[in-house]
Amino acid sequence: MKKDYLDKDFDERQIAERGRAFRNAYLTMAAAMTVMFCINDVMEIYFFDSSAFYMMPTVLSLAVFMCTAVRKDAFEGFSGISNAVPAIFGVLGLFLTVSSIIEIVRDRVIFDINGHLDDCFNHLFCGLCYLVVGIIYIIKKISDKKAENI
Amino acid sequence: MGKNLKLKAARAALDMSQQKLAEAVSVSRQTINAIENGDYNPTVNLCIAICKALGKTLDELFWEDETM
Repeated sequence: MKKDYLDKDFDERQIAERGRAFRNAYLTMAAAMTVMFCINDVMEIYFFDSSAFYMMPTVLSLAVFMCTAVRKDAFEGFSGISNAVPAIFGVLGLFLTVSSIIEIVRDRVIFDINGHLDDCFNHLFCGLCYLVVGIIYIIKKISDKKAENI
Repeated sequence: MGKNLKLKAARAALDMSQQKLAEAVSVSRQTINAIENGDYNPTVNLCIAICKALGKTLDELFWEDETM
């Protein structure tokens, strides 16, 4: 099977799984933006500001792609070179989640002066997405270690 | 799709781990595991590569049992 330079490190099954992961991520982003548009502009609740409108669906779709690819063993190539990006995301997610919770508890702010969700909720959402990616990566690594011994 | 026990038996007969077979045919260990568990249908090229690595024919490894 002919591969382009982006797929040279993935076998045929991994390429197919990555394709499904990209599809799921795209559909997630489209659905999230549609929901946010309906809430903000159709129902005129104006919950989200512009940065949340673009950041939250993007981060959510990135998390969906990474979680799907990691679960289906399609994030790292078959060459055996470990890709620690999900672990880095997990650490970043933990930091973002903890700092956002501290900020929310300390400042007790839910909405900013414009009536939009405060930035700390955006950070909390992104942190939770990244944290889930990291957790799934670690669980997958542990289960792979056990399976390699078979 | 049922499990491919013939593949697993052929691999075990050569005392070859999934990782070793995966390296021989340039795929990931998880792909070999998925093929053996019946979770993935390999392409003909991959089937041929696996047959060459195990010294078997396509019929011996990938043809359906007559009882099915």
